[in-house]
Amino acid sequence: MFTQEQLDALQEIINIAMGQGADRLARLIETFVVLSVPRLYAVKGSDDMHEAHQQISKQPVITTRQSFIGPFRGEVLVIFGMNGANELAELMGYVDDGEAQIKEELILDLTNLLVGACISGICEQLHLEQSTFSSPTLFFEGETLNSFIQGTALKDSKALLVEIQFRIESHAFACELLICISNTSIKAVSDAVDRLIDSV
Amino acid sequence: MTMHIVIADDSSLSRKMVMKALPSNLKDVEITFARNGKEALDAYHCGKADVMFLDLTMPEMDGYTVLKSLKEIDANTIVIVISADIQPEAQQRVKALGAASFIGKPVTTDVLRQRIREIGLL
Repeated sequence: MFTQEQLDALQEIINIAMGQGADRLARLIETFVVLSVPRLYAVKGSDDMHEAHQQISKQPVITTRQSFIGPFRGEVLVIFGMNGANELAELMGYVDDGEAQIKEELILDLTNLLVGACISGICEQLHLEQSTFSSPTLFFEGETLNSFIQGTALKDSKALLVEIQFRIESHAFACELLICISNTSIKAVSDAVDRLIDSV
Repeated sequence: MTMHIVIADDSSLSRKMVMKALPSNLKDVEITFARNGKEALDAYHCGKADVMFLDLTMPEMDGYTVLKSLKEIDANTIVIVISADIQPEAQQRVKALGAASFIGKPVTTDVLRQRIREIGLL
């Protein structure tokens, strides 16, 4: 799907995009956000997803999904460790009117923020037309990633698995992203990455 | 006298971007690439770091640790941090540790050359 050189370049592009996401989150909660070094895995089929997913997160508690549409098209899954969700809800100024509702609002807002920053940042750096976004939805625990993939158009997609962790200092919150790129976008992304590599 | 410049970044793309953005009129310059914080410190100990362009998020040893170590060894080493982590607190932290300047990624030729002028390297 991608050469190693392209993956290295994409890793840095995503690193920069997620830096913008971390900055937005940090300004929102007025707390420093710690970013990990992103790791990328190119996956060619849904059979590989389970193994790759194990590398991303051993114990996902709750997952959200959000589609992006345009020349750069696909879907992002955001895997949240919920241990720190209550602390984060407090930092983000959520009023406690029911724990489940707070967590749902919180993770959907976070999904919007992180996916928006990541995908927009990728498009901007690769000079691709900006994608538009669907509303994020919940994808609860209990369904495996493979069954999720098989039940959607994503089964025909190739996936770029991005393992990047956001941690909030002094809090237990952490989350990870998984970007599935539609087959129809692979060539456009690949060509754009090549143009960027050739320009330096 | 040769100026030794270290470009420390785990991304080959970013290392090349920084090198490309360096002013073409810098004379007698030797450039060393470091792929992680440990290699950056090794380059310094080999006497090859008058100026260091330093990423923050790197494997093995992060940029904060490198910056702190460098400044403890030699407070005069010029360190320009170039990072994707553009949070205001990250910028404050590296300034407090003694960085001469902070540049958010993606680095552009104009910004890098402006910062180089500001710290008197040109």
